[in-house]
Amino acid sequence: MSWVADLAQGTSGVRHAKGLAAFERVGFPGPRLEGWKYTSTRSVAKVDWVRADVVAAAAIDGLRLPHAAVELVFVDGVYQADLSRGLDGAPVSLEPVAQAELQPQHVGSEDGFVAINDALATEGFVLTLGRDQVMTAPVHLLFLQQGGEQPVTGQVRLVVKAERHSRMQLIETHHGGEGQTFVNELITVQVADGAKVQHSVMGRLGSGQLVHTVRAEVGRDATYHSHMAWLSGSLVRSDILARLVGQGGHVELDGLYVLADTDHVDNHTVIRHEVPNCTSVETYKGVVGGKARGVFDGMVYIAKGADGTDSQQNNRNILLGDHADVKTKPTLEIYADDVKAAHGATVGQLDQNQLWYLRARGIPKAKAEKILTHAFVADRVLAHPDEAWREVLAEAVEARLAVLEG
Amino acid sequence: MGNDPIDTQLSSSYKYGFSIDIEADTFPPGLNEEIVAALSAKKKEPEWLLQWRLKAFRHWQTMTEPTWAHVEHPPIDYQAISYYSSPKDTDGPKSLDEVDPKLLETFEKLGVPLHEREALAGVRKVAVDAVVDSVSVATTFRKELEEAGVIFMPISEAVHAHPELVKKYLGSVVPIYDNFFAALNCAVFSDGTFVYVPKGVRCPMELSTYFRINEAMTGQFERTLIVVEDEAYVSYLEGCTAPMRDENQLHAAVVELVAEGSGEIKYSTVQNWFPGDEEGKGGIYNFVTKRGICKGNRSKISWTQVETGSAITWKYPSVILKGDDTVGEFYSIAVTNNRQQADTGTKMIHLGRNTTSTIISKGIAAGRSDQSYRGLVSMGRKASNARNYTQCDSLLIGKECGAHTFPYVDVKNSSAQLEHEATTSKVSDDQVFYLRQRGLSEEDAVQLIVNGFCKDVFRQLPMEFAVEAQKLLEVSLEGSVG
Repeated sequence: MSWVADLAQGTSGVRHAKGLAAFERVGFPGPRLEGWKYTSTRSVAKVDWVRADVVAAAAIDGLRLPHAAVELVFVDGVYQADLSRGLDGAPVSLEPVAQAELQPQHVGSEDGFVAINDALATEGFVLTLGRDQVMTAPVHLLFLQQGGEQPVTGQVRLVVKAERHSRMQLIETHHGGEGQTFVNELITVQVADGAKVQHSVMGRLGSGQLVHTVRAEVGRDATYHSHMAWLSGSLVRSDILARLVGQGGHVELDGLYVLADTDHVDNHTVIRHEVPNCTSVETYKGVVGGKARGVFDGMVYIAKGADGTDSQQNNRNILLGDHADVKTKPTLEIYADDVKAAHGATVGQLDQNQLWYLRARGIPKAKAEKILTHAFVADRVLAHPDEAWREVLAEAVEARLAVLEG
Repeated sequence: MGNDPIDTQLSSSYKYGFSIDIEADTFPPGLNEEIVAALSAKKKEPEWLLQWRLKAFRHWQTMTEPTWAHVEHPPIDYQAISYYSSPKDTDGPKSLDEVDPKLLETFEKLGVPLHEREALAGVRKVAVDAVVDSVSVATTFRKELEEAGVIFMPISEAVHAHPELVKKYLGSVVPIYDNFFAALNCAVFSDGTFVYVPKGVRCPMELSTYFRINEAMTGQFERTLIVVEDEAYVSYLEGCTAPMRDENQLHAAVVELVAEGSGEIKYSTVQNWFPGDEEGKGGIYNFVTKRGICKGNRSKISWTQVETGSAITWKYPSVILKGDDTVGEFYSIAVTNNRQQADTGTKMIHLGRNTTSTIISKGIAAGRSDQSYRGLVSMGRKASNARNYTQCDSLLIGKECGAHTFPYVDVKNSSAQLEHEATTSKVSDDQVFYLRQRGLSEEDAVQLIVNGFCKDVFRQLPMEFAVEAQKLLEVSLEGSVG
């Protein structure tokens, strides 16, 4: 019996039962599934996890974001009300939701991790920003995987609702340490008509493992902008499904991964154009060295009738050293004819001409390589509109590049 | 702009849909070890080949049909197919005069230059090895080729005439365990073509095979094996047609190419199997495994294909770039109309150093058809300085069709460099407007745009084929413009 069934024993409720049944049917995703071809889930499947709990204290002081209006803290996937701040008087509200109200999400999914979340999540929260409300400062979701003596796991379940014409900035930071931990997060983002959600994620997970699943639904003239930065992690699976369900909607997915050592990051994104006249832009960039593996598997789906779609998808990679590898698979599935869709992917080393140019000007090779690598990733950092966050991110990216450059 | 004028144009019918009555010698439907053995016996094959077939057949039985391709079709009943059909009178016509006049008539209708026509020969010589159903009927130009040292003959003959060569290379690129349809082909292949170009020889003419499925309820499982030795060169053309029939017919061929050091193979295909009617009834299931290996250093393999036919196409001509400094190329135009489905692309497997590959794929989807590009570019740990450039563009004509792109990229070497680009769009109204202003009809305007879209690939085709391909494209898209 797997640990999922063990941990499910303490739960009741229809969602849990359905989730467990679904998990027992599909199991942990394996390499035979097209979407999990490049990522092994053994390191999650073969461990006897115990549930994480509320903690007395956690070393989060250095991890807080000073400019955040609201800060919600999760340790090993469990919400820590005492450590969180800023909810009083904020335009945004956080409500714990009864189990019964959180619908099972695994339906129609081949993904065992959503089923696990259905089966095991005992708490869930809805974060709502009311109609016409504009928040200038971000909501910070601080996730720390600190672990304990035993391997611990936590299930995070969040629903983010941006009501009509509201604007919200959401920043998730995921920090890991030395402990053996696994967090399975399912976040549903509803962007109502005319609303705008900026959703940023930074992960520095170390030995921590994270399966991060985003389900976004974008209404009429609404915008969902996701900005992912994965800077380390023994197993990170980032799943995004963004559905454009109202005309004039816009989805922008930006991604950056800087990987060294034995990092493994698998980016799996799907943008579904279901109605006419929507646009999407996706740009993922990676620098992969050491013995790391970086995966990009991006799909743009344009449904029948979704005319007037304009979609661009791009993945660029720099591979350093002879033990790293990159798998990229930018795919298009198009069933409408009046569309513009382009995608591209590159994998390579630093441009030799650029290197030569810099060296000809007296810059040593190592330094020149550094300049070019930094320039390559910098534009993803700069793609973020929030200056304060850009600074935090830039510092974290620099630190990771320093590791990569030895 | 409305689709109507184009739609009416699209409805042109399949011009090669006639079936001739030649007495045929056909096995009853079904597949078991006896059929395989009977097939082998019929061809008086040596024992090793029989054992090879049986091994493949036994393995095939343990395999399941792949389902990952982006196509839909009713399940295929492999026991309902007849695995051998040969026009009677196979004792071998020695010259064209002995060939059944009806057969010649077929070729005449198809426009195959079976006769050594002066006109064609004047431009460039083409040797044709025509395959009606499963047996190679006439090989022209053989003598001239023999003088050059080139072996060009049906593979069933080559088994007897050059057993050492066939034994050495058969199954060396596509092993019997490779995939479901390849294993089936290994077990039941009936005939095909064998080409061997010895060291240093530049094949004096272009070689050509015409495949045609004639008999109802027969599958065609031909097998092509082309070997060029060091510094040798051959250009090979393959054309395919099939008569119009209500039932679906299965075509599971295997093509293997081997290029030794500095050898070069240019393989061009114009595939025009019957695509089924407007409602998707009938048509060929074209499930083909094509693979070449650039074995020696500096060798080169180039695939060019124009695919306008077949109800379902499932085909990925690939190149294994094993030697250093080897080159692989893939140029493709795929046109689907009505209910056709195509899942096609290529694989470039870079193993050697300084290997380069180029992929240019142009897909045109019209009517209610569905088309996918599926490709793999893999660069192994040792493939230092490997280069790949991929471009796959799709053009959509009509609201009911689909175009998809599934490129797989797998890079393990940090000095490798790879670029992939793809675009999908419809024929732009602006361009059509511009051309119509200059007096072109809407159909001509679209035709011109489509031709321009495909130009990069047409340029790669040998001249005789380029003309034919352009015509085919016109026919396939007739009535779809709008």
